[in-house]
Amino acid sequence: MTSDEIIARLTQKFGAEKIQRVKPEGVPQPVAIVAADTLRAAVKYLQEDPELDCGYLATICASDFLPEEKKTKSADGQEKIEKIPGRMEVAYHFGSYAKNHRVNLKVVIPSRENPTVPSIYSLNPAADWFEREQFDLLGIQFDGHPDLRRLLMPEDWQGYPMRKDYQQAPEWRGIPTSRENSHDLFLKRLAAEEAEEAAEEKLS
Amino acid sequence: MSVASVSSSGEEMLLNMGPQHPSTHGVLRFILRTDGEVISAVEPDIGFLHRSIEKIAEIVTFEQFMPYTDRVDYLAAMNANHAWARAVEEIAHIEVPRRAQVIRVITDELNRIISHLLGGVGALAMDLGAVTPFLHAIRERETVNDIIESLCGARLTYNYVRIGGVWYDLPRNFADRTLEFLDHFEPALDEFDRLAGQNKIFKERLAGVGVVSAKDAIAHGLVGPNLRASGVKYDLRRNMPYSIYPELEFDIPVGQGILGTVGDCYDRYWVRIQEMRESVKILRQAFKMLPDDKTIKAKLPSVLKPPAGEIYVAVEAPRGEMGWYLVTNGGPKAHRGRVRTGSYAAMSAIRFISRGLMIADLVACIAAFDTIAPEVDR
Amino acid sequence: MQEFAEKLYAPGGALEGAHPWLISVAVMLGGCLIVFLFAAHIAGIYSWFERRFAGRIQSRVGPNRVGPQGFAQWAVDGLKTFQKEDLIPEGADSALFKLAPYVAFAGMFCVFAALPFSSSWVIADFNVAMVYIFAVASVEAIGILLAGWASNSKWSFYGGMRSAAQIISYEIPVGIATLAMVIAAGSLSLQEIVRDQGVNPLDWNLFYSPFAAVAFLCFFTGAIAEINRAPFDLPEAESELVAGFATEYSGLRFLFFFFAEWANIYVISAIATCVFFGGWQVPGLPTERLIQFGAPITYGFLTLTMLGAGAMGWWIAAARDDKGLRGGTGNSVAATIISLALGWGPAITAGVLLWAALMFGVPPGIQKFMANVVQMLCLFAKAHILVVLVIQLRWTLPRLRIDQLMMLCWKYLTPAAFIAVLGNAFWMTYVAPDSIFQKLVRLALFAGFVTLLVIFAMRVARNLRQTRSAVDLKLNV
Repeated sequence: MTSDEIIARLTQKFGAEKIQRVKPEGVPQPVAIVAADTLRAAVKYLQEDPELDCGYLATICASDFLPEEKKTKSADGQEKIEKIPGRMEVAYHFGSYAKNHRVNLKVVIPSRENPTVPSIYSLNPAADWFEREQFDLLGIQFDGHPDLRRLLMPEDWQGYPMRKDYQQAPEWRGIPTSRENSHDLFLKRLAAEEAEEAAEEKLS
Repeated sequence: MSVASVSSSGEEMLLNMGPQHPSTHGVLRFILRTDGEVISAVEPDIGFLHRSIEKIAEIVTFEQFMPYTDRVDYLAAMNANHAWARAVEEIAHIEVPRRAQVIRVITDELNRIISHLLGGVGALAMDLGAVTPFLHAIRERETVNDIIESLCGARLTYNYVRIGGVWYDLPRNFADRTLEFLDHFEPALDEFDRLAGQNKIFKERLAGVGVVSAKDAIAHGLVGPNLRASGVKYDLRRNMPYSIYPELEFDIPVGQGILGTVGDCYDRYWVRIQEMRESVKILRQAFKMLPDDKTIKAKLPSVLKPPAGEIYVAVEAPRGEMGWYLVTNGGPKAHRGRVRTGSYAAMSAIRFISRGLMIADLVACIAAFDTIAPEVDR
Repeated sequence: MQEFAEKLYAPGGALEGAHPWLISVAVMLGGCLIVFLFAAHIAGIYSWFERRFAGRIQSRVGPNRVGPQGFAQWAVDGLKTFQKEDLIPEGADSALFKLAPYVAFAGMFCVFAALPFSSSWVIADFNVAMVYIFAVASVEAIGILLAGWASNSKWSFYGGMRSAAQIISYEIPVGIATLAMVIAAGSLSLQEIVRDQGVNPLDWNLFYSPFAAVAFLCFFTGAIAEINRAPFDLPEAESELVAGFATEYSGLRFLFFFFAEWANIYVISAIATCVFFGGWQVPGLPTERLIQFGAPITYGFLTLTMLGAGAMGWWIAAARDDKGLRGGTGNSVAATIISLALGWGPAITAGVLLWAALMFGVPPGIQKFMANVVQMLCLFAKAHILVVLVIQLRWTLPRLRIDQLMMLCWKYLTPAAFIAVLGNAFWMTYVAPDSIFQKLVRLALFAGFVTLLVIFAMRVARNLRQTRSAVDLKLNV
């Protein structure tokens, strides 16, 4: 089955208001946007339907979209400013080995404050670390995950590094998180050397 | 890392394995709960090698990101390069010249051989206490390193594949040298297998250890040789073909349970050995398919701006499916790139597999899954 | 040794009238010192030999910079380790931690006391030497257990526990397998067991009966396990336990563990040689004949020493001027001293002695001494073959798991050792020592042994050839 056919079956099952097919122009793969409350049911259906059989979860990818202002020119030459609110998206890539097909699912979370998505850990154990990592790096709350802890970053790390507006704290447990740029260091050394030479010339 | 999930009681003891430990293949840490030699719980603590490669993917352009992909999996940098190049080509609709396609397959398979030699079977033998097979594997790997060095000047992080093609054309004598190596490599691999794989102790140590059924392998997201060792015949090169793989003839080795159980550590070893043999076959065919047309790189716009959207593209790397989930916003940089690696899934699966194993078995299991820390942490 | 001391204080001896007890202690201490130096050199030289040999197996070179073929590497390594800081981890049981390496070392060293080097060179010719050897060999387990416990590290602890379990288990098949030969020889004294075997290789204990061969296999496998060598090196298991019981050790204490390990290879090979391969018995040459040949042996020995030491001195001097030891003045002075001490000095001494021997003849005492030297070298040569085997095993085989190790011991080796004892007992009762049947069995076993050796040598040669072709792949890169 192609991705389109899988998405069509999902739409058929859950209705067009819950599953929405998106395929931007020029992009080869379609994406099914799933309503958050249908996600678990949709994944369950994907995995258990013998014709879909998508037991393989390739990855979970959350992405952060800051609020932005889009300037568009309407036909009469008037500038229109469209405000797009910030959002978070969590994408799932499912596949089947037996049927050899793949499908992209996506959940759109309208707010960037405390984003929450139902966890699919109980449906697919591979989701465990994927969800923990997305929680760790982007702060997505996976509702129903039994052990949602940081995975890659230290336990007491502040903030979510993969968010677009992430500001790194200057230090963590007394360890500075950044160091001087090597180019700056080089310029500093040059300046110091020049000053030294100048001093030597003065002496001689 | 909290140790709450592996807290001990009574006779059991908490054992901290790593981050500096000889057999964790990089900087990894395991918290083990053991009763004597027997492990009752394992909690891998990862992140010591986390270099934020996915974050870097958001702040450099598509072309600039290529050297960073080397570091995702430094034992198979060619395959990692290829994965990124293919993801971008796919979303930007770039047609890769045929010569570049063939060269990519050649470098991929060479890289697969040396990755399996070092990580898949060599380190496995060493973790079982046999140092000699490991050094024999390293000996062969050195020759391939020399060959690849003549191609791109690097021996580990190649940065050779480019979006839309490859960096340089093959140097003079490259084919002859590689074919000469292959003639030498096949008997050398047999000798390796005789020394390590046919050894009684080696077999005893791996037989029935860390068994993963086909169902569990799919559920835990195991990919590549680990998946095939569990009896699932699935290879991206064959099932979702890319590049010139559809034209090549090769078999996909699947774990057969040679020592009784399908999906044990010995099957993983065996599958990797067979895969190296298949790679040799592929290389021999690929050299015959090299076209005379010397174009090795597609014409690209000066600033590459793929359309906004998202895509998941994967290639078959030595440690299994290496895929990029790429979110673009129409600009010259990726909005979000997420890499899916084989070691990551294997590492998360080790928690479930290693219950009831012994410490020595866990070491064998880590090596047989061919997990390497940079791929886990990225 | 005791006899020697008695001779000294007996009427007419060199130290007549001195306190007998004092003389005995002094002689014993002197003997111990000599054996200590011998063990130190054996351990060092085998560490170098093993590294070169492993290099050959693994298609690499191994240490080749210090001395001819890297021969002085062990001395330099020893000196280097000697200078390292002696770290004691926080929370370690300091006293036990310091004591442990010496306990482990003592266990190895005490075995030397009962080891007959030649027909008259043995520190203490116990009549219960075998029992003594098994008693003191287990002291090493205590040392390693102490090290594991006192280090305050869980990895060390695992190493110590594994080692204790392993050594205690494997003592049983080893002891019982030896018992099979003790029955045959009718004595627990190692010297007696060697004397009993005679100069003809057919008379070696290994060919006594088919059960003796079984006993040898049990003994040798078990002995390798008892000294914690691969494939039974679980207590160290560098890929599992970091370095096992030695994880927290550094410097001299670490050196003592490995000193014991390498000396132990020689110890088990020497014991196996004494029990099964006729010990110091030179094939075809009984002790009396050797003493008769004392004078020519002396000439030959002195000539060889002169040439060898001279070559060594020349090499070091050349290296000093040429490449290896070039550098500061300190190096140059050190090289001169080393070349004098190891090369020119002994060469000149040997030359003078050779001249004296040729001019004035060889005194009978020296003739007897030289006969003993030849016997000792013979023991050494036989043991060396076994040492090579031990080293080869280490660099070929993977490590066993602890349950497989225990299974091998209790399920296979122990019953086999018991069968060997019972079999040998029956053999002794029902097969007359001089019967044709016994002789035929000896001949058959000997032929089988030689065939095995030849096949083994051929396979090694073939593999070496193959490896060479594999190494010699030179691409035009």
